Amino acid sequence: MFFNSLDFAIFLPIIFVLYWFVFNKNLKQQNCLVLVASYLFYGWWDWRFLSLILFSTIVDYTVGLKLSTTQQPSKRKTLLWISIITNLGFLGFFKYYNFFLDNFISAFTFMGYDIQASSLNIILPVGISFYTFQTLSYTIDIYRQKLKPTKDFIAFSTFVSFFPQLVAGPIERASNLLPQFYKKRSFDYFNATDGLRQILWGLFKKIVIADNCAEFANLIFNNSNDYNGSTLILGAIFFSFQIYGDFSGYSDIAIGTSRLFGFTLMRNFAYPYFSRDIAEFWRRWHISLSTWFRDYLYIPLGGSHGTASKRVKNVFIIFIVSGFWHGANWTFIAWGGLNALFFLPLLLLNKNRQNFDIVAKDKTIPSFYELWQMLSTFSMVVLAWIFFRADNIEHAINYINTIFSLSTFSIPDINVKKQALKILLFVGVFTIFEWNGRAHQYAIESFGSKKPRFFRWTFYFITIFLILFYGAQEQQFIYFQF
Amino acid sequence: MTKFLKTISLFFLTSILLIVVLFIVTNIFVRLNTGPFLLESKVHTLFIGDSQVEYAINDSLISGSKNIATSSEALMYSYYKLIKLKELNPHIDTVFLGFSFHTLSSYYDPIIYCNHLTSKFLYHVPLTKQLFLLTKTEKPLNLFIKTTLEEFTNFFQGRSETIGSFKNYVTDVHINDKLIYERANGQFYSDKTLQKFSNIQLAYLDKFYAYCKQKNITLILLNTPKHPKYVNLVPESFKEKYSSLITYYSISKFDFNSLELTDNDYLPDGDHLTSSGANKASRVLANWINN
Repeated sequence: MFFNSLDFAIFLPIIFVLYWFVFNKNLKQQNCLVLVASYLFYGWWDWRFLSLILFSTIVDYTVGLKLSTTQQPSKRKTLLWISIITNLGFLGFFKYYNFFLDNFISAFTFMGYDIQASSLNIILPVGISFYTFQTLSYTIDIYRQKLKPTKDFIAFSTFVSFFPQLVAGPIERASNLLPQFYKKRSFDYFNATDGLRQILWGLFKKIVIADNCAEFANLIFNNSNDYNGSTLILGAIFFSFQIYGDFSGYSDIAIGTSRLFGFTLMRNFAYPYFSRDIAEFWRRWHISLSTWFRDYLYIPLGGSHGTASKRVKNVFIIFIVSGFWHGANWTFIAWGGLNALFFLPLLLLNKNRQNFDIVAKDKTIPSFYELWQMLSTFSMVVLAWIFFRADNIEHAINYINTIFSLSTFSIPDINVKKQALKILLFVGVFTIFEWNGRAHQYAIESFGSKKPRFFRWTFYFITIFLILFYGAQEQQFIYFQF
Repeated sequence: MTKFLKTISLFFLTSILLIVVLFIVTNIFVRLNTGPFLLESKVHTLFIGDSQVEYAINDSLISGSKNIATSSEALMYSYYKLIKLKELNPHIDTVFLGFSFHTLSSYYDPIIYCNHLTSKFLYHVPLTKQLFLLTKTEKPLNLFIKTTLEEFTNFFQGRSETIGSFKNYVTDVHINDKLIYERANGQFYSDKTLQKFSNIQLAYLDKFYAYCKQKNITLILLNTPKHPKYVNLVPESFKEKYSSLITYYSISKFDFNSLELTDNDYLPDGDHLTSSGANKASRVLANWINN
């Protein structure tokens, strides 16, 4: 079930009514309802893969309980490895099997050995990268004795499969989400209306911004040989807004939906395109994944401590693994590697820990220096996105070569330009909203308390109008494929 | 919770009210937008139909006529279009209705309710039919918003998407056996099973006929030229049904029997004409009308 589908528009109110009016007396029943709803939500796409979630849930629940009763380090380590191998085993098989097989065949062919192996027709279960990391965090935290295991199987199962964030995050930590299933939730008017507003903004980002940008990004990327450099720059910018609108839009809908049920999810995006350096960008983009890698990979590797070569190595590892997490393609690895290269100077000059506050705080417009910082960071991010979007490395390199050719000084392709103007206008207005709302959790959060009802509702109606106008063609969320 | 439910209910009620108001206002605007439907007083003959007519009849070669056919136009829409045009142009006395073998096929049924056609004709059918059409689409709200905005744009630009015209600039193409087969197969078969006759199309043929009779309009069915290879692929049952309908209604029919066309006069699919084919067909038709 997709958030931008009619199915979800029917599903959500039904679950809401059952949750607050029928099952509100008993916490256990309420959790059971959320669990059933979550399995229904996931099974709507393909019920067969529910067995994977259930299996992961049983393994991690059992491992969690065993870890709490086992003091022997070697046994504890074995239990942890059972969880890691089970979860990453599923992920590896469904997501990376064909990639590794193809690369092994290529490598052997290159060395002169002709090996015969046929790849499997494997369907990638939606959201496997997300819920796998979520359950892994649970067992790792118990292993590190930072978290006590739960004995409540229903609460744990609901934590693993919680429908608002099941298929595309935010990747929640057990320490944040799991305790919310233990205590009774009470309905809060402000939280619910704000949640609805956040859902509306998420839908706007997805349907009006991302899907419109996708149309041109796809056109330009799929025919990149036919366009000049300036048009390709436009294509890369369109893709940058597509992926931001798509993914942060999904996160807004997920967080807003959770708030309707009295849950608080972690923030996943904090206006990343207003970052002043690449380190700040990575503190603001896909926060739940970045912090996951920080806590469970980067810090155990030594983080930013140790010799320069070790720090460089750690940075490359975390960025390349992060890239590989996104997909089984060399383009994602290159994307991660490029981001590591951008990050490296900041690390070596010890400048990766500045710019924690919001840009141009308490000011309407940024200074020229801040603007320059934001534009240069955005340019680096856009350049890296080319690898993320390209079909293969060769495609990305050719794309970038054309951008750095003389054709960049020519006018963008007239056919693209004409139609793209409308979308650029949307992107411009959207950016203004994002800029004005950058001090808040999401751009239009302040509308809730500061604006009169007439103004608010007019704004909502216009937003709904635009969503409906552009919503005829339902498009899948990009991050579903990860 | 009570406050939340009240606010949500009020918001939804306001939304519904806005939709109803927008729906009524758009209907008024569409009715006021008569400009595109007003024909010159010398025009007394209309060519109505789908892309076959749109491509085949060059009305500039036939005096006193206007080709208003549009792509994929089902008989239901042609019927309501004629009513509107006759009300605004009482001088219309002859109508050539595009009516070929494929017109009878139930392959047309899903096309009638497709988003493209529904959005084009939504506000040009009676109110009850408008609501019916909205229930037939997968995303009625999306369609409603899109169509409403388009009709407002049409109003301010003084145009209408429902009035078609002769559009054919295709030259230098040749028939293609594979495309002819695919075309005929798609029109008359579904998964190798023969398509049924379309009840909707037949019902509106009946209504069209009755309306023309009531308004003293001469109705002539127009079977635009088809390549012999295409005609050979038309199932016998459709040919028989076609003939039986002509007999049943005793309607005049024009089917270009005397017209000689080359392979270059047809589009690759064999059931549309190129520009040269259209000019030849239109001259033959002009002679027939004048005599």
